[in-house]
Amino acid sequence: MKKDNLTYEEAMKKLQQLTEELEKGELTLEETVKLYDEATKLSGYCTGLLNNAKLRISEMAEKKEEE
Amino acid sequence: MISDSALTVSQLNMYIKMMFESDIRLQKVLLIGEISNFVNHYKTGHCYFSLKDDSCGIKAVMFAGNARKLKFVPENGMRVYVSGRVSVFERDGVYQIYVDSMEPEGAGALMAAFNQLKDRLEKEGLFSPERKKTLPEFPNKIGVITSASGAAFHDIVTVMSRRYPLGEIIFYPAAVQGPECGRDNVKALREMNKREDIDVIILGRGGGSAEDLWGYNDESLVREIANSKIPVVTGIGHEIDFTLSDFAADVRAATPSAAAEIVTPDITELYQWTDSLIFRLENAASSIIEKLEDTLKNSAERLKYSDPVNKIEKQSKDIELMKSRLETAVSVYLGNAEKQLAVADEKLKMLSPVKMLQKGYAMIFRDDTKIKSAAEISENDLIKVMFSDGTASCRIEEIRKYG
Repeated sequence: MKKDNLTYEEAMKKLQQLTEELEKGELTLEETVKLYDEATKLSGYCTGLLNNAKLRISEMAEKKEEE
Repeated sequence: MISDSALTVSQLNMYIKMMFESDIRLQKVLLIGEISNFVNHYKTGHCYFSLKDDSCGIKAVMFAGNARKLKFVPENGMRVYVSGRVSVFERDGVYQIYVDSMEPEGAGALMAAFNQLKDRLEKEGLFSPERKKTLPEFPNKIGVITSASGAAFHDIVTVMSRRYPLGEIIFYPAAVQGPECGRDNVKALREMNKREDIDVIILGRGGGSAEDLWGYNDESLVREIANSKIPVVTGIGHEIDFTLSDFAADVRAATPSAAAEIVTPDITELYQWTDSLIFRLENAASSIIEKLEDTLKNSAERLKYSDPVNKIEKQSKDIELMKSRLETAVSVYLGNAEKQLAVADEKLKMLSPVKMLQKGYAMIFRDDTKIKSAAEISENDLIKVMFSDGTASCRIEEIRKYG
């Protein structure tokens, strides 16, 4: 799964889905390990996003209009 | 020569201007009149208008430096007091009043105008709750419209850096007071609404007097806010200040900082959210593992049960058990048999010849042979009669057989 472009919100929603899937407890060991692995990577990604976040500021170029 | 005495237009206008300016009475004029043809020049910020009464008019100009200090938004038809000097604009050959300051006539005029506009827009439904849009939970791009130099922008940046560094501020500088305020904010709102990527807009301005904030009562701005596709949060002035922009906004915050807080989730809550999901994840995974472990244990248990060695052990135990049960049964049986034997022995004893002899029976022998029948003896035989306590020798006198 490509997660590098996910926003925090998207990543968290995905993580929530995986968690709920896992909580159903109907998976085989193999599926569990695969899901858990993916979820762990996602949660690391989310925490990383929070840790490294820095507010970006850009200014909208004012379009000069002649009067 | 006529040509020698002719003046250029410039010379004349310069002279007339000098005449005006040499008259001290024209250097400080206080004038009352009604505003008409009001134009706020977009690029320079200068205001051009006329002041008139019932029969006359005079051109007026208010330069940007003074116009910025205006505590209300001049409109056509408004009666105002202006103070300034009268002079000549040489290029056009017009005299005009150069306005230093301007105030609306009547102390309550502003308030009356405010209430009038508020009632009108309210009746139109511009402030109705149904119009209010909900704010996005995780805004990516946050439009901020405020002055580039004011404290409001700094406050918003500070709050958002702390609370929600995931976001991006799209800053659109705008005048926050004076006649340009309404127009700048309208323009900023329109430009932002042309973009598809802005999730929420903050309209901010630091504290000031009611007159300072007057630009936010501009009718076109209020309408623009109400019609914005993107949710708008106002943070104008302080807690106690209400402008018509606040009424039209989807959410009104007390200050620019409060507006920044309202539009952004708090990163500490985001950390908690992430943590709680990780916690649930671990729980779910370990309960799955536990379940699988249980299944494994059960299988091992069942396997152990069907192991041949165990089967033999179990069977030998069974045999042991049966053996002991058998032994018990046998000993009980033997005990009973012994008792029965004693009873039988007793019975047997009752039947012994000795006992019979004691009862009065006697045994008869001839030459130590037991005689059981009358046919075995003859007359004159010598027989021995045996009692329990002794014998007697007898001779047979007569034999009588039965039957």
